Amino acid sequence: MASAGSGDEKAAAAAMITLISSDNEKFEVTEATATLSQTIRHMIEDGCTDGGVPLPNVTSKILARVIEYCKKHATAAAGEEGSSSSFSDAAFLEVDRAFLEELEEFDDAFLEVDRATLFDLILAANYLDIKGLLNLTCQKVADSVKGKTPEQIREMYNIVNDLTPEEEAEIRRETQWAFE
Amino acid sequence: MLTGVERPTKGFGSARAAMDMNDDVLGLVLERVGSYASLIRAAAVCRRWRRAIADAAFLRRYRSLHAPAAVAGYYHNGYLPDWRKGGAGAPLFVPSSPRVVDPRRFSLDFIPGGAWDVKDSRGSLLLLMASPFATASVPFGSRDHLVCEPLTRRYKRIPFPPPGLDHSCRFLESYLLDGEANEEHGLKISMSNFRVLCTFSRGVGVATHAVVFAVNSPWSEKSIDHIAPNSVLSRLLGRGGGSWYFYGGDNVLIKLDGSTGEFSSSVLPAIEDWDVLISRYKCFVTDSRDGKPRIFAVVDGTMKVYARLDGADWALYKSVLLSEATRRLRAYQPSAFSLDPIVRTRGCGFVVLYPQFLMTWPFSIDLETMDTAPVACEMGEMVYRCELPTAMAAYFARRSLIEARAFNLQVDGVDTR
Repeated sequence: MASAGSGDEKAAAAAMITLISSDNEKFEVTEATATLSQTIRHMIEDGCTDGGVPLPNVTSKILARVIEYCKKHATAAAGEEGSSSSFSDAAFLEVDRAFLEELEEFDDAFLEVDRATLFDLILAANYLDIKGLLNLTCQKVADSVKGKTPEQIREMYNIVNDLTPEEEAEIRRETQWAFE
Repeated sequence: MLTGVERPTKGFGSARAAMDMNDDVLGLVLERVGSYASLIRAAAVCRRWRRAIADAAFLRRYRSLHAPAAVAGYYHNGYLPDWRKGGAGAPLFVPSSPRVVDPRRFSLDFIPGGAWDVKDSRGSLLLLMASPFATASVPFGSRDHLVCEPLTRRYKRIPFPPPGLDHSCRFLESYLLDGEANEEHGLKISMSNFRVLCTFSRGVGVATHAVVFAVNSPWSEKSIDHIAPNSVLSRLLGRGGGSWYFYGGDNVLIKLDGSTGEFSSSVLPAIEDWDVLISRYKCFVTDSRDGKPRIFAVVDGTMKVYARLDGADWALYKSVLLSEATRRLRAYQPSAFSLDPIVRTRGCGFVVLYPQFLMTWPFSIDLETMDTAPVACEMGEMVYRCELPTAMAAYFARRSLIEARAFNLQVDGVDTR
């Protein structure tokens, strides 16, 4: 039983999925990489991935970045599964920590994109339901809002202030402590 | 386009709308803004952001995600009544994190008239009672109460005494409870939604009457005959987990649920002689650091902490020999604990004790780690936790005012500076 189970896993790991971007570019990825996306995982479970998975909401430029993220984190997920069995192994934990640091560095570097790309990544992560990526990108935007005045936020994200002067004054009056 | 839409500007690699995200995604971003002040500023960006943040479901979620960060600090009444120091009476505020919370924002200097003591706290609100040691501006013996929110500098007087109680009734205690109103904006307690429960006695220290003041139905009688702490032995043990606890004698623990306002009783397991411990003031209730109720007792030179874990019965949780735990403190004296020390302060997650013959050597003991530390300032009998108003509570202040007016309640303390 045990050997049959692991054989299945190997077969699953080797299975390839084809993702098709909105501009019709095709990306071959392993199932382990693709299933970081809950949306794609469900499609695989429903057996409707033959002939490729069309992703009409994601451009090739963004899909390439998303796949880059998923590849890196799919390795991490596999590493985590392995670590549970050798939890007491100090040497293994040491390696694990180094890998986690590497992953953190990867994430930091991954976020070094212009704002338009960042928003596209958020939309793609939301559409593909990739928890880690969604959290990473949303947090990046949230951090950029922290400590900023409303004017600075509007400037940063090109948002038109459609509050009337009265409405704005009202918010400020009632929550003055937040504005000082 | 109307809202949250961008004009093409230089500096962006794409001409696409920079804030081109649906409401779900905007919510995901905003719920990660980890500071209440930043979130409120974000609400002033545009209508769409304001609407997203003011959404009740969003606020509930934000509260559940960020609740632990919401403790602004702690109030205490100090030790000496302020008239002896010659100053205006004012409870003292200790910020939870001096770098994040500016203690000046939590000053009670907006409250008029004499000296006040903190009686209870709940959420971002405090229940104050005119200090029995107050100077001329509050008549001696008056039981004037008010509920205030320090950060937004608002207060509401509670008309006192309640109608229908004659002079034979003696005031005992008052407690601040969650409001009864539906949890609009996810708030159970706010300046427009709270209750105050007062107990009175006809006779010697036995609670015979309870009256409840609610924002929209001032003063109603509450029946307490069946369960309230009304035996002669009953004693107030303290506050934990947002509820008040009393001891009814014979191992009976009585709880006043701070959320429902109902009394209930349970039987303590007979692992200690509770009657003796409690009658000698060696056993009380307080909060753990994360706001869970703890019973603690000083017995035979040992500090014992009891907890209810996973809904199980009260059981011994931590225990430490005080002479051991204090060994590293300065001015340590092995003889200090020949008699059990006196419980001075019930804090949130800690207790201050001092040895019976060494009152100048107070020390605190952490109820989780059981670590001890010298205590620099006197904090009175109890420490009251004060939370930041939940994200939009302050924002809805204006709305609360309108609600209050609708209920014909006078909000007499709105500072408009």
